[in-house]
Amino acid sequence: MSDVILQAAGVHKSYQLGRVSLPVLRGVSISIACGEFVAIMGASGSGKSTLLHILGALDVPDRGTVRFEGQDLFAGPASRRDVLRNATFGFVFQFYHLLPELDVLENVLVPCMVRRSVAGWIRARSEHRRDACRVLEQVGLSHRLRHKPNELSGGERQRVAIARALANRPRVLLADEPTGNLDSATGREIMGVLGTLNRQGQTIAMVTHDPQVAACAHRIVTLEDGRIKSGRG
Amino acid sequence: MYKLFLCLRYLRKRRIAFFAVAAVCLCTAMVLIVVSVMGGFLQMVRDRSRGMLGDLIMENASLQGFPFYQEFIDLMKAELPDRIEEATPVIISYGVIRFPTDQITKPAQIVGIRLAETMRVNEFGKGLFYETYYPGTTTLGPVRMPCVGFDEAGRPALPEDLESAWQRWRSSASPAQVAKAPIEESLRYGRPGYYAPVPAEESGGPMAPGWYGRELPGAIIGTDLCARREPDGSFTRYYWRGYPVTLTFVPFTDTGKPLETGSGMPSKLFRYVDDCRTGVYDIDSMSVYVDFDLLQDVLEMDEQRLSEKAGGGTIPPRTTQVQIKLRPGVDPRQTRDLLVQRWQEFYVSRIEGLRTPELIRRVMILTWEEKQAKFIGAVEKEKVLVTTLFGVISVVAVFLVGVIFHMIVQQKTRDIGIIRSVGATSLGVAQIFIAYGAAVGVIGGALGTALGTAFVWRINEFQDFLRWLDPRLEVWNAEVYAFDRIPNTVQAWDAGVIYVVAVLASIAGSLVAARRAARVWPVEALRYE
Repeated sequence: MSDVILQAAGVHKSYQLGRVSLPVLRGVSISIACGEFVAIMGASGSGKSTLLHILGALDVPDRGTVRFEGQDLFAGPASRRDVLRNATFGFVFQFYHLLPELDVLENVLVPCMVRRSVAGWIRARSEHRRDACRVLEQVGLSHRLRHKPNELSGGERQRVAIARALANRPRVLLADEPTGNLDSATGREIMGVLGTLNRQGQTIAMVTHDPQVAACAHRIVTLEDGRIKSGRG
Repeated sequence: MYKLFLCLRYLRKRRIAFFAVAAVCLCTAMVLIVVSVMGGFLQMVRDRSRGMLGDLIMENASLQGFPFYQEFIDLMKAELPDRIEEATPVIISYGVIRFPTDQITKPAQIVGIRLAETMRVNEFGKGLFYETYYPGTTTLGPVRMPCVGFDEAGRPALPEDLESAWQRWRSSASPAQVAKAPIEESLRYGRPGYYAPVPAEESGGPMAPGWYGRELPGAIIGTDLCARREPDGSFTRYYWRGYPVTLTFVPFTDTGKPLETGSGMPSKLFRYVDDCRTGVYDIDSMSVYVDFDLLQDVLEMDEQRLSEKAGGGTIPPRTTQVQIKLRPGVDPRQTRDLLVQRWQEFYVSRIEGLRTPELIRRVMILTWEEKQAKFIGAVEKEKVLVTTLFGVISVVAVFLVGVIFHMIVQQKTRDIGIIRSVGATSLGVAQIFIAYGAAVGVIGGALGTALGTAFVWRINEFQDFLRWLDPRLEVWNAEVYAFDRIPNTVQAWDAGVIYVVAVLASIAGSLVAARRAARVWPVEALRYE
């Protein structure tokens, strides 16, 4: 657990609200080791989701660096970050964010389709389907493959989102308030899934404002006003 | 792969896209119909012009005509046998037509032709009704009236020569042509056309079929002068074949003055031997064709001996037009130039002593396209204008596709954020919507092409149906558009070009929305539920 896989140093980020620049992150530095389960806590507006987005190359910092396995995430063209989001990071969001026109299996297959051409997809389709079914079985949804998101409960939707995030076997799973929209029992189920994944070696960075949820992690980092307030960054 | 997958899925699941498909479909169909009808109209003008006139026309645009036509025809046929296949003089004059049983007199363009030659020079023969089904029986020479009688078995029958001509046609025609032959079932003799029964005073016994009445010269009458078009496109003839018809002529002297005959305008009785349909309403509702030599004689355009008072000498025979058919592959413009040169050399030696030298000086030789240039040019311009107007109207479809795609992108902002979060590039997102636009164009364009083609193919039936509902709903007025049927062919090239433009226009309509989709900031798109 000592090998640092993801490291942010002096990350600043502001949002422009009309003429006013609103600082969200003010020099945040954090390191995440391979196989670690880190919880990022903080009040609403503390910058925890923004930090998670920057760590997953979904957003770009104004200043500071983010390194994945020693390589600067934001050096090079934007297409490199697209590839990283597809193959290296897996995102789980508070509101699941599934594509409503697609069924469970198709939602899980979308990241695999992104990295394949039409010809490549035709060749590798069965392999991807097998992997997707395996992941869905892992999260306990093998009986719901052909259901549409609107036919699932909140917990099931979040499990589909986790399966989608795992579809391309990412190095780091980034979860933004994964239980924030669920009742406590379902939230515990989801944390059970994440705990199991972590025990199997999955590196996880999770944003939450719930101390009970954060307690499942190895380490808790607390943000306040865009700075790390407590915990080892 | 995700681009194709999501594009097809959105196409199937987003019902709003059906409106874009419908807009593209309707605009494609609309432009295809306009281009096909206008293009068909132009093609019909060209085909019929050539079909009616031959390849080259010689005329001086006067009612008096011009002399020495036959010598020139003979000379050219002898000198240019490799270019000129056939040539025939035609007299175009005006007069009136009256069927004795009608009390209506109509204006007519009386055309003098040599029937056999004319049928070789242009497509006149293809429009003859009776000649089609009874080949070899139409003549402009003296003829009696064919009457239906009864054969020995007591069945209705036509005169023997008509019956054998009909059998000849039947044996040479295809089964489909035979099936289409316009047999009027209510007439019990079961043959095409309308024949009189044997007159009671003539039969004197068994009423045998035959030719009755006195011999009169034959006249071929424009179909719209002697028949009524039915909603199904067939014609109901008002008169029996061989029915007498009176023509009254308006002759002019070679100097252009009305000819003083002493007994008013000359009239002559003919028999209606056939009717001719060129498809050009102005011609079919006005023209009567009689024998060239007879008309020349009636109009005193044959050789005339001048009185001593008028200076003596003779006026050579005249015609108003010469129609020339060229051999296949011969260039009409080159041959026209050659004939103009020959005509100038030819008439110089003959103009001496001619009372009206202007008649031959003003002779022009034109190709069929030059003769009809004014009309063809006007139709060509009309086609360009109407196509442009409808093309501009179709730009509405581009805007409609743009608006619908804008709405789709707005509704799909969160989906865009999701696929960006799993690694899709902004270009890839744009390509989804461009492919979506192309798919709308491909489907809408194909449906529109099919709809437009089906409509154009059935456009005359559609008009007949409208006319059946209410005559005021008729949209194609034959008197205005010259042709009695709406052009109903679709050119594959036109359909192909319109289809490609529809797809491109649809892609163009999706470009703004695609650009907007590419610029969606995934973090913002995913922030809220």
